[in-house]
Amino acid sequence: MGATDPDRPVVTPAAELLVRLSVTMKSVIAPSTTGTAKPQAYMAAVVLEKVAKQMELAPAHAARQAEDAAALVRDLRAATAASALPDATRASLAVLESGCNEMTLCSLVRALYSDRPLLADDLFAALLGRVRVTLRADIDRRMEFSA
Amino acid sequence: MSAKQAGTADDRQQRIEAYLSAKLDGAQGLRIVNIERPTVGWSHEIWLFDAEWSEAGRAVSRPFCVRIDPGNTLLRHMSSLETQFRVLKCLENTAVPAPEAYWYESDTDILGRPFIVMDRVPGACPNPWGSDGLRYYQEASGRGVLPASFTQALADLHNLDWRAAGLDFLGVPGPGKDFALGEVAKWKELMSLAGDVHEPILEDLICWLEENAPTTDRLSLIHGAYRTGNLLIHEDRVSAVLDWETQCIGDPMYDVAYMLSDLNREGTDLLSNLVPRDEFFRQYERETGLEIDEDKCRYYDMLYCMRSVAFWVSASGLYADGSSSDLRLARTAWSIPVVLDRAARGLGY
Repeated sequence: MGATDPDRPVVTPAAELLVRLSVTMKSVIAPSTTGTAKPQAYMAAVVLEKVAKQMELAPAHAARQAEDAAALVRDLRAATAASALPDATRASLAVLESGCNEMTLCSLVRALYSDRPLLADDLFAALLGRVRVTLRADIDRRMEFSA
Repeated sequence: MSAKQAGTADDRQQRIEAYLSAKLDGAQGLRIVNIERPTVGWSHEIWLFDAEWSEAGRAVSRPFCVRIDPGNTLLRHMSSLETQFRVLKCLENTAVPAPEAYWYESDTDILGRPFIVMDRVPGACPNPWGSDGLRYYQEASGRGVLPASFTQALADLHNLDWRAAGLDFLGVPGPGKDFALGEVAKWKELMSLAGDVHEPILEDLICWLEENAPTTDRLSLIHGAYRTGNLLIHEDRVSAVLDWETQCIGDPMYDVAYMLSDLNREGTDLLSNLVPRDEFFRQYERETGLEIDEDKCRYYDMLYCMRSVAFWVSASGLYADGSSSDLRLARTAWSIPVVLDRAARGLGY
């Protein structure tokens, strides 16, 4: 019996498995199907490819998202330190500091617009502009597996 | 009877034959032939066929289209088949090319779901997103007849006296910003029906739309999705405008913005893959007496971003909650970021 490669994988990693399933679906299964099943088989290949890409990128994206969230909280705190903020904005910022996620970001965006008449124009622009930097980075990441 | 009981194609065919026999006085031995079941579209189950029967000893053949509500349509909360039927009835004997609608049935004992029966208008609907369709529209653009017909049909739609046609049942916006704000509210509601959506860019977009809503000076019948792919073409002309699911009374620039939007063209400057921009402006303004307001169109283009997100959220929700097993709907989950990216760019970031 010959020597075996100790690094030879015995289980296909999930993301790679999905990619290979996608290829099989597109090149083997879909061409051999007929009727309404055929476009569904091709669409299954597309979905598998998207999921695989999303899974592959997830750890790196999560790390960068955490860094971006921390930087956003830090920058917003600095930008508002010398200002008396309207209630909705102040409350939303406090919630964001306790956990920066899609829901708390939505809440902050909503608060900024609703408080706009009470905020100085340059402060409104600075706060929303800083939030948008984070949103831009986030959507860029999502586009890596969506486009 | 449940939808399942009426679900097989053979069963449906027999039931359609029985229904038409009862509706068509004096029809003997009616049968439906040349059946087509197009798979395009997201909303309705469509049956196209010829009905053949004898009447007073004479052979008769007539083309029909039956649209059946599958009960899980994308826009199910916003537009019923009954509304579409009423719109089509109102459009009869107007300049707007639309199929003649014969009957609407809400009785689910007949086909398991509500349905409408209408004329099968001659024509084809090349898919504007496929390579064959793109080539078709490119060639038609070169001939010039179809682009003019396409623009004319939109002008006819916007010139229609919608009150006289009885279309005010669709709801008439008040003056000022009522139309734009109403549309924002309508699509927000559709999203809320699909579930909780937490997308900060979408929140930004909605707030911006509410803050920047334009006023509307003139109200028209709006199709809401006027583009190639939503109309039939016969002998190089528009034979029927289809997909009356997002129609409303509102700002004609709403439809014009859809024409101008790059959402509706692929790899070409031709509007809706068909119409040269300059020619569209010239003909539309001449035929309607309206000046195209590009600022308003840009606003409505952003509203279309919101609408697209609502559409895709609703679509992916149908797959997520098990209402549909159509993988096209599952795929739309990845369309949401694409539209949000577009929205963010439109907002300047």
